[in-house]
Order: sequence, then C-alpha cells, then structure tokens
Amino acid sequence: MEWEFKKGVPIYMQIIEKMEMDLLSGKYKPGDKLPSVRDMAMEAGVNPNTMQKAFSEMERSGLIYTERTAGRFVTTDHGRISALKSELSVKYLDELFETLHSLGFTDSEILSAVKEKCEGEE
Amino acid sequence: MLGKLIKYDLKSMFRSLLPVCGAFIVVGFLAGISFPNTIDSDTTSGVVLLWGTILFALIALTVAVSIISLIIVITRFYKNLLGNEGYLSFTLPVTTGTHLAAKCISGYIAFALAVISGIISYGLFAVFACARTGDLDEIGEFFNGIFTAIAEFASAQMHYAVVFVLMAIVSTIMALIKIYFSIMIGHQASDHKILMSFVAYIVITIIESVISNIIGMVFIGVGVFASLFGEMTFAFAVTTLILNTVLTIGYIFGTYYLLNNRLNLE
Amino acid sequence: MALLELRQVSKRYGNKSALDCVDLQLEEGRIVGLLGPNGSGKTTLIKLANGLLRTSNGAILIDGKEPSPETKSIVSYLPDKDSLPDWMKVDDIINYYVDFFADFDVDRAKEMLGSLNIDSKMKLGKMSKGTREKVRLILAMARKSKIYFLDEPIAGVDPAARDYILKTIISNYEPNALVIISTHLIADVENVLDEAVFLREGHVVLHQNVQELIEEKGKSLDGYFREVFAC
Repeated sequence: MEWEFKKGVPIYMQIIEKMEMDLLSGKYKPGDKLPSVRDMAMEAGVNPNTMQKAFSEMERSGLIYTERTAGRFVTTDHGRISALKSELSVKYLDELFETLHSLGFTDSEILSAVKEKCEGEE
Repeated sequence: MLGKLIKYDLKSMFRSLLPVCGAFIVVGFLAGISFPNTIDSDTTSGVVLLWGTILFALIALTVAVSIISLIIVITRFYKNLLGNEGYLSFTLPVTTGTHLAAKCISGYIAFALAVISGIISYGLFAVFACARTGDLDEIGEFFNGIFTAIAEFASAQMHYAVVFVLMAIVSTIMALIKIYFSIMIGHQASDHKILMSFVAYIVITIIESVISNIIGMVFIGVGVFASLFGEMTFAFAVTTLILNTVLTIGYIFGTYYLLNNRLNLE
Repeated sequence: MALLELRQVSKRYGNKSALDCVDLQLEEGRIVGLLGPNGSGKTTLIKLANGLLRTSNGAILIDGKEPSPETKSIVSYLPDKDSLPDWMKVDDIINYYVDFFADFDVDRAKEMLGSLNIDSKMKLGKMSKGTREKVRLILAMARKSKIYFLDEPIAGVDPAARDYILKTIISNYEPNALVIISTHLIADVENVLDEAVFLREGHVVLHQNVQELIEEKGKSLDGYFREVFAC
C-alpha cells in the first residue's frame, strides 16, 4: 500500500525522485493541482513533516508552486520541465557509466552496446 | 468523576452480586411459603422434606452471599487498580484520593446490599411462615417489642447508645479499609502478592487484638482497684471507639500512601 | 517549550537503575520513536510520564506540569498490556471513554471501528486478541490529546491492520501534538518517525532527526540501530 523506499537514502530525497519521474512520465501534468501534504503522506506511508520537506525542496527548485488559498500546483514553466529532463538523463547516464565502468567496459564499448540496443529495437 | 467511578464499580460488581442476592431473597420467600402449617402425624414427610431442603438452601446461601460479596469487593479493588485494568484506571484524569474514595463507597454499598438482602430474605421467611401458621400478629408484637426495648435503652442510656452507633459505623468502615490496606501491603511484595496480602491482614489483626487486650486489661485493673466498674466499662467503650477510629484513619492514610507512591503495575 | 521534558530523571528499584539521570526534550508536532532493547528503560519512561510511577530523582514535565489529573486529561496512553475490562461490550467502553475523557471523539472512534468491521455489540472478552488490540488502539487514537504514548502499537496485529494503524497515526497528525512510539519493529515504523531516541540501560544514547541520521550514516534507521545495539 505504501510506496517502496530504499534503505540508506533519506525519504524526502526519494519522494522528490519519484515525483520528478511522475512529472516527466505525465502522471502529473504541468499546472495539475497536487494533493495535500497529509493526503500524500498517508498514501506514501510517511511522516507528514518528511513529505512537507520534500514539497519545500521541490518548491525551492521550482518544480512546484504554492497559491496561498488554492493549494500546490505543478509548475507550468516548460523550460523548467525540460531542464529537469536533462538533469535526470545526465544523472541516469552517470549511474549507467559508473556501473558499466566498474564492470570493465570502456567508453567506446559502452557506445557500441548502446548503438546495438537502439538498432535492435527498430 | 467520583460518581462515575462508583457507577462503573457497581456495574461491574452487580453482575455477580445481584443474581446471588436475588436468589437469596427468593429462597427466603420460598422457605416462608413452604413452611409446614403444622407438624403432626398427618403431615406428609414430603412437605417437611421440601421445606427442609429449602431451609438448607437458605443457610447455604447465607454463607455464600457473605463469602461471595467479600470476594467480589476484593476482586474489584485488585483487578481494577492493581491488575492490567490499572493501566486504564490510573491514566484517568482523577486523583488517587478519588479512586480510593470510590472503592470505599462502592465496597460499602456492595456489603450493605448483601446485608439488606439478608434482612429481606429472613424477613420474608418470618412473615410468610407466620402467615401460614397464623402467627402474624405475634411477629408484629415480637418486632414491636424489640424496637421498644431498644428505644427505652437508648433514651435511658443515651451515652451508650451514641457510642454504640458510632462504633457500628466505624467498625464497618474499618473492616473494609483494613482489607484494602492489606491488599496494598501485599502488592509491595515482588512475589506471591496475594498470599502476602493475607499474611498482612492476619498480622494487622493480631496487632489490633494485642493493643485492645492491653487497653482492656488496664481498664479492668483500674476498675478492680478503684471499684469503678460502671464508669470503667463506659470509658473502655469510648477508648475502643477512639482506638478504632485512629486505626481506621491510619489504614486510610496507609492505603492512600501506598496507592499514590508505591504503585507498581506489571 | 517542550511538550515532554525529563530533567535529570532517575528511577531506581533497589540498587538497579531503570533510568539514570535522563535529560530529554520532545517538541510538539513530531512523531518520535522511543527505541531500545528490553530493559533499556522505555516502558519505565512511559509509565513515569503517565503518573504510574514516581521518579526517584529529577522531574518529568508534561506541558510544563508534573503528572497529575490535569496532565492525564491531555495524554493518551496505549499500553502494551490488555487493559480493557473483559465484561464490557465495545459500546460500553466507548461510553466509559466519553464519561472520563473530555477530548474523546466518539464519531471518529465509531468511524474507525466501522472501517475495521468491529461489531460494537460484542463483548471485549469474547474477541480475538488481535481485534481487542485494534479496539484499544482506536480508543487511544480517537482522543484529541496533546501527547500520545503508543507502546508496541503494531506488534500484535496482522500486516493489513499494521498498515491501517500506521496510516491512522499519520492522518491523526496534528502540528501541536506529540506522538511517541515505543517499539521493536523499527523497520516497519521508521518512515513514519520524525525523530529517534535510542535508550540503552537507562541512558539516552541518541536523539536525532531520522532523515538527518539516514543521510549521515548512509543506512536505514533499522540498520543503524542494529549497529549500535549489536550484541
């Protein structure tokens, strides 16, 4: 029923990760109203203060904004959203490269492997 | 809050107490109406046997009501304050003094109920038995006679009457609080708490006897030497009253102190 | 001002110390885990706060006051003992709570009983242990108190009920209330905690925000606990 969380990484960071993915995947569209902190905390199975911290961070980084009486909304700033997309692609590529490097792959080997994969999917 | 605590005490105790007292009264009534009018060669043995059985049941119930009411009061105190329920009781927004007062009042009411049901039961027995043998008037006269005698004595010896009444009140309170005090003392033991409560009760009773015997001997001694029997007897009665009152107050404070400062729920 | 404060609190039994010179301040608006092995002093601390025990030394203050009927009216306690009378029905014990606790929310209690399908006409003594635990928890959570002490709230129930209980704790959250959860099942509750307090042999060895701790140590609260209390 609750969201799955990894051990060893602060929950609020994992919440932000998940919400960033939901944003890019279209689960939350630009301008969508977000549920209240309490409702999201209940859904996620986490402490409301933790959820609040995640929301505050996302507000600080411009992904969501608060309209005092109306609630919290996903940003409509498409520039910000594409910036997020780039951030995440860099992050996951970094992770991929780090993993494959540790398995002994060189950069060019990685590049060939990626090409093969793309061709295989056509 | 005090009233509410008493309410729940009585609710809990009456579950077992009312049926037993009810049965007691019913059997007393039955003993009365089944009373054989006459006992002669014509009376069937069946009739006498029936009444005899009912009478036996009445006596058994008399003993039972006495013992059961005692067990009910003790159990209520123990379970509600010192057992697992204590975790609920002592987190109520109520002072320890209120808890103790509630237990004293509800315990008193429970015992009073047992006594009253006894009076009603035997009263019904007497009235209906006499109704059957046609001696109803005699009963009336009998009770009248007792009341008149008491009234005469009371007006003639007012001071004795007062002491007597006060003694009755103090003794009943003392009996109840002595039980609670013994339970609290036993609760202090780390093991065999119930056994230690009995031991405490016995020890307290022995100490009481020793003290009152000493006082008694003093008064007898003075009475003998100074030939003041009448005055000494009255002085003895008053002194016993004072002693019991002091002991009762002591038991109340002792019980309160242990309940308030030495509570140790497991 | 701290809602719950312990100032140099000690509790001794003979020559054994259950709590030894403990200083602790817990603020409102937090859900705090009181964690430690058996005999570490968790239950003693909770009993002291509830006025079930007297301190040997030091002062324990609830909203600035020593334990008294006044503090008891703003503290809701869920003990790990089966503390409800057998002979009462659920309806009876609800009336009991209404009678004694001004902050008891009857509607909330009935709503929770309903969503857990608990028959209010059933006698407590006739219920299964798990159902009785749920009733006790509902009664404790249906009070609008300032401090909640939950002693092993999820230990005796099935996993589905555990989820419900944790969700109820989250949804009950009030910015001016303090919830203290004492438990062995750290992994199950750590996502719900703001702060963790580790107790060992009557001493507080840790009091920290859980997210900070995870970031610092790079492991879960449960993992770090096992490290600290490794045998």
